Amino acid sequence: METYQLLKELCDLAAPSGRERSAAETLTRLLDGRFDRMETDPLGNLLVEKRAARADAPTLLLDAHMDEVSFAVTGEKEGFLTFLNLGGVDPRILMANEVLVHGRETVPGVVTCMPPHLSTAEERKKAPAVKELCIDVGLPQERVRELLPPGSAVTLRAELHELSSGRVAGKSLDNRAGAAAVLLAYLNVWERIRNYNLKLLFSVQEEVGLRGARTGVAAAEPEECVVVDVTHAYTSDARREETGMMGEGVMIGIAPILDRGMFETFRALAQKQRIPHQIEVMNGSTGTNAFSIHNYGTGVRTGLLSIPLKYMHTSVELIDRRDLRSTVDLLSAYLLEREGAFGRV
Amino acid sequence: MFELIKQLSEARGVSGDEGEVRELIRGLMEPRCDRVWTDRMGNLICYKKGRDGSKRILVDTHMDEVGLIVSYVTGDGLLKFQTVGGVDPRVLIGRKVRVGERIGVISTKAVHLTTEEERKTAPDEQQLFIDIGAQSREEALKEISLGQTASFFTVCERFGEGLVKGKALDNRIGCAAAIRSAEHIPYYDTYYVFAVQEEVGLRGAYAGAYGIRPDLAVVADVTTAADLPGVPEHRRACRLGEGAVLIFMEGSTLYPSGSYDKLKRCAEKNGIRFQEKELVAGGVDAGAIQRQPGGVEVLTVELACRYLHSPAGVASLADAEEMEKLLCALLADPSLLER
Repeated sequence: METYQLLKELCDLAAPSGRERSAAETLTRLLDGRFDRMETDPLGNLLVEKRAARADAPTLLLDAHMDEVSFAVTGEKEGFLTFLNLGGVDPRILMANEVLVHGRETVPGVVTCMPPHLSTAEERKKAPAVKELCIDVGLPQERVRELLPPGSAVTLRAELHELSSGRVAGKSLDNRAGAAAVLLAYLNVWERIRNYNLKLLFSVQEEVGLRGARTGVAAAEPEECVVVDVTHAYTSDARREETGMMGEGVMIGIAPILDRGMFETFRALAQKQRIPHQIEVMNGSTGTNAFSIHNYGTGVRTGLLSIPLKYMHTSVELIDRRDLRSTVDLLSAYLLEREGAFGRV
Repeated sequence: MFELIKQLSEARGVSGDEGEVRELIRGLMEPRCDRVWTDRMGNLICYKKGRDGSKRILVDTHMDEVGLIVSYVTGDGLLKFQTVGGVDPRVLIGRKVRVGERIGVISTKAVHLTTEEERKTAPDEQQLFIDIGAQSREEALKEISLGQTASFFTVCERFGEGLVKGKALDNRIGCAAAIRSAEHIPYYDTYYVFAVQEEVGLRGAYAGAYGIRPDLAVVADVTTAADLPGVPEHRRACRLGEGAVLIFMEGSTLYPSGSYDKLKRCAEKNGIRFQEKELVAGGVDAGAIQRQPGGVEVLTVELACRYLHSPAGVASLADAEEMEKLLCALLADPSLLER
C-alpha cells in the first residue's frame, strides 16, 4: 500500500473525540476482511481479531488511537458559534484558522479574529483564549441555530500535503500515522501468525484523557500490548533532550510503566535487522494509551513505539515517512519474533 | 464574479513579487482593452478608449497581497522570514504557504514544549519559521533562495450564504470589479492601473499615476470589517452584506467634501447599495494618487472583508457586485468631472 495515499485518506477524514465513526469505517474498508472477527464497542472502539490456531493461546494487542484533537460548539451569539476545546489543540493556531463544523450538516467555518488595523499593539502580544473567539460560518442566525446546535463537533480543516524529502504535513497525523503503522504491520504478518491471538484496537477518546483504551483493553483481554502513537520531534527552538530526531527512525519508549523486557526485545530486533531507531526516555505516564492499558486486570506487559512528529496538535503536524516505515518494520519484526517465542512455550 | 475572484485570489503576488498575478490579469485585460503594458515598477496599465477622448480617468486597484519573505535558513533547514505588509503573527502558526515550487508550513515548537510564560504571550515573527521538510541548510537552499516570497496557501471557495472565503481578497476583489467594468466602453478615456506594492506603503500607485496624469482617479480596494460578536458597534467599521463601503477619509487620504458627495450622489442615482465606513483605519492608494504633482481628485470605493490580512478572509459576493456596479456607474458618468 502506498503510504502517502494511505496517510492522506486517514488524515483528511474527520474523527473528533467521541465521533470516530468515519475513521473506524475507513480502517474497516482498508482491512478488507483480512481478520477472523471485528466488533465495535458502545464507545466506538474498533476491535479486530486474528485468532490463533489453538484455543488457549495468549493474546497480543496493538493499540493506536484514531480520534483527533477537536472542539465542540457550546452556543450561538449573533450568528457566530461559541466553542470549547476537546483535547489540547494548540490555542496559538486558532485566529483566522479554517475549521469544519459537524452539525446536521458539515459546514466550513473560519475562527474569528480582530484584524491588525483594529487591534492595539498590546492586544497583539497576547494569544487569545478560546473563550474570546467565535467561529464564523457565514450563515444567518436562524440557519446557524437550526444546523449547528450545541454539541456539534468542530475539527481543524487542512489537507495532507507532501513537502520535500518524503515528509508530509497535515492535521491528525497524531495519531493516524500510528493507526497506519498498526494497519501496515498487521497486513504484513497476519497470515503468518498462528501461535497467539493478534488483536488490533483502534481506540476512541484518547485526546480527552486516554479513555477509549480502557474499555478496549477489557474487551481484548491481552497478556501483552504494543501501543503506537506519535511523539515530539526536534526543532531548533525546542530542547534536544525532550525530543526525537525526525528521519532517524522509530522511537522505542522506556518508562516506569513500560515493560523493560519488551523494550530490550525491540532494541535487539532493531539492532539486528538494522532498523533505524531511537530511544525515548520518559519518567511518567508517557501521555499515551499505555497508561490506560498497562495496569488493566492483573496487568498487561506494555511497550510503546512512537513516530517523531513536529508541531503536534496543529493543522500542520509533520512527519517523515521513513520514520513511519521504520515503525512498521520494527512492529512487524516484533510480531514475528513473538510468533516464534509463543510457539516455544 | 465568484469564478473570477477565485482565480485572482489563488494567484500569488506578495508585494514586490507580483509576476504571477500580473500575468493572470494581463490575460484577462488584453481582450477587453486597447493597449496593455507594464511600467518599470511592475504596475500593469491597461488603456481603454472612451467616447470622449478629452479627459483621462485612472482606475487604481492594487494587485499585491500581504505575505512573507524568506530572510535566513537555519542549520536544520528551517526558513526564517519577515512579514511583508501588516500581518499579525498570530494568524501565521499552523498555516501552509507556497514558497517557490514548494509547500511549507509555518510553525514553532509544539505547545506541549512551551513554558507557562511562553504560552501567555503570542509568538512574534522572530520565533516562527517555515518548514519545507528540508533536513539541513544545504538541502533547503537547493529548493528555495533567500528573498523568495511566501504566499498563503488557501483554497478560495464559496462560504456560508452568499459569501466568499480566500486569501488576498484584499485586493483581488477590487481587481475583479475593475476587470469586469472593462467590459463596457467608458465615457472618458480610462487607464486601469493594477498597482504593485500597496501593502508596503502605496509604493506602486505613485509611479502608476505619474505617467498617466489623470483628470480624476477612482480607487477600488478592500477594507477591514469587524462585524463580530464582542466588538462594540462603534468599532465594527463596516458590515458584510450592506453594500459597497464609502469613506470620507482613511489613513492616507482626506477626501474633499465635494468629491465625497459626488460619489454618494452617483451611488444613489444608480440605485447602488452602499454603507459609510464608521471608523478611520488603514490607508489606500488614493493618498499616493491625490498628491501627485498638480493634485488629483480621487474617489474611493471599498469593500468590507473580515479577517483582513490573514490566510482566510471572508467577504460578500453581493457587496462585490455593488462595488462593480458603482465602478461602472462612475466610468459611464459624463458629469464625473464636474465640480
